[in-house]
Amino acid sequence: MRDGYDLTTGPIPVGQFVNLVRNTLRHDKLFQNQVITGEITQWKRHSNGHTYFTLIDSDGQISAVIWQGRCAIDPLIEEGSVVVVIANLDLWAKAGKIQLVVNKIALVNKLGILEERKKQLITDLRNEGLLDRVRRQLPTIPKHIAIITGSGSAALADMNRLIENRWPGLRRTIIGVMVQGENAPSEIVRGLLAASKLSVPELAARLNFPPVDLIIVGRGGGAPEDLWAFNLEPVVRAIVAAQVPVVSAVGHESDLLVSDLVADLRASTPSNAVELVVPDYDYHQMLNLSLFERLDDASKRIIIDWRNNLQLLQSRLLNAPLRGIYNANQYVSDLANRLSNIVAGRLAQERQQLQRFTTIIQLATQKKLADETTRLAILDTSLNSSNPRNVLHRGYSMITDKSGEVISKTGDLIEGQQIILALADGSAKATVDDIEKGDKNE
Amino acid sequence: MSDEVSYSEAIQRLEEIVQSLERGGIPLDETLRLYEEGAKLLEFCQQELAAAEGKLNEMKLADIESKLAE
Repeated sequence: MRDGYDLTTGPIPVGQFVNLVRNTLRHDKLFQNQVITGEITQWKRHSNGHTYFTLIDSDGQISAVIWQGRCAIDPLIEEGSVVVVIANLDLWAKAGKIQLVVNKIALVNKLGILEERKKQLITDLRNEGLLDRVRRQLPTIPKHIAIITGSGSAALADMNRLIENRWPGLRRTIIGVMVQGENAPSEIVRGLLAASKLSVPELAARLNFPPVDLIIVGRGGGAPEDLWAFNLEPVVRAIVAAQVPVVSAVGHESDLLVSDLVADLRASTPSNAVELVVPDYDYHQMLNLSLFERLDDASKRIIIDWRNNLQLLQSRLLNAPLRGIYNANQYVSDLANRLSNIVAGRLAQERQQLQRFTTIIQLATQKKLADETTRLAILDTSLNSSNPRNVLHRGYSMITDKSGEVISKTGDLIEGQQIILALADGSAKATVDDIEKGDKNE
Repeated sequence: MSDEVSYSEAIQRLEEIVQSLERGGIPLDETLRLYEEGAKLLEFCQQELAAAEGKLNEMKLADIESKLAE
C-alpha cells in the first residue's frame, strides 16, 4: 500500500481507492460489531427483501441496511423508532457510500412502546363502543366448550383437571395454538375463527360435533412480552367477532390484557375461567331433584284438598240443585261459613240448655230418689200389714180351691168339694161335708 | 338460541310454578296445567344436563381448519 502520490506509477484509480478505504474499514475493530443507537428515518422494506433506513440523531446520520435473513426485525420497528443496532461499517464502492450493515436490531424501550400501543388500542376500542357493548350471555350449562391454548401446556392440564372435578365428561374441544412468539397472534386469531365456525351447527356437523356454545382463549402466566399477543388488535378483534361468548383467561390475576376488556367474561387465570363457566354437576342434579319433589308434593296436596272440596261440594249440590256449577265453589264456601256460624251459635245454645237440663235432671233425680224412698217405706209397711200370712199367725186360715182361687163365701163351695186349707206353717187338704149359709149377704 | 328456552329460564319458570303451587288457592284445572308444564320443564332440564356430556377432543389448529374447509 502506498501512502501519498507517486509520479512514477501515476494516479490511483478512484475505484481502487474506494476499495482501499473499504478494506481499511473492514479490518478496523472500531468499525466492526459496533453498538450504535439512534432514531430511524427513511425506513424502507424493499421488495428484494432487504431493508434500508437511515440512523439519525441531532448531531449526525448514517445510512444502514439489513440484508434479507440477516436478523429478525421486530414488527414494531417503524419510521421514528429509536433502536439499538449492532453493525459493521462498510463502504458501498459503486456508490461511494458509507453505510452500516446491521447484524442485530432492537427497539429501545420496547415495553414502553408496547404500552403506548396498548393504550392507543384501548382508546380506539372505547371510541368504537366495543368496551361498553352488551356482552353475549354465557350458557348456564355449556354443551360444547372450545378451549384455545397451548397444547400440552400446564394451563390446559389445570383446566382439564378442574373441568373433570366439576362436570365429569363435559364435552370440549381443545384447539392447540402458539401462545407466544412471532406466530402467536395469527394462530390465536385462526383458533378463534375455527372455534367460531364450530358454533355453526352445519359446520360443526362436519366434525361430528354438536355446535360450540362457549370459547375459552388463554394461557398461563409469563413475562409481559410473552402475554402480549392478547394485547394485539387482530386477536382482540377476533374475540369481538366471535359468534359465541368468549372468555379471556390469560396469565395471572394481576395481568390485565386488552382481550380481558373486550371478552364476554374476564377470568383472572385459566383455572378461574373453568370455575366461572363450568357449573357443578351435582348441584344441578340436586336442584332438579328438589324442584321435582316440590312440584309433586305441592300438586298432590292441592289435588287432595280439591278432592275433599269436591266431596263436600257434591253433597251440598244435592241440596242446591239450582245453583250453577260455576257458583259451586262460592256456594260451598258460603255453606261452610253459614255452617260454621250455625254450629258456633247452636253450640252456645246447646251448652246453656244442657247446663239447664243437667241441673233439672239432677234436681229431679234427687227428688225422685227421695220420693221413691218414702214410697218404698210406705209400701213396705202396707205390704207387711196386708200380708195374709200375718193373719194366719193369728189363728185364721185361708181356703183355696185346687186351682188356687181363694174361697171366701159359702156360695163358692159345693158339698164333697176338695179344698186346700192354708195355715200359718203349712197346708192341708179337706173335703166339704155340709154347707150352712149365714145371714150376711156379701 | 334466543327463541328457545334456555336451561336457566326453565329453572326460573319451574321455581315460579312450584312457588305458586306451594302457595295454593289455585283452581284444579290450573293446578293440573302447571303440573304438566313443570313436568315438561323438568324433562327439558334433564335433557340439558345430559346434553353437556361428551368427548374431549384435542385437535391441532391445522387439522380443524382443513376439516372445516372440506
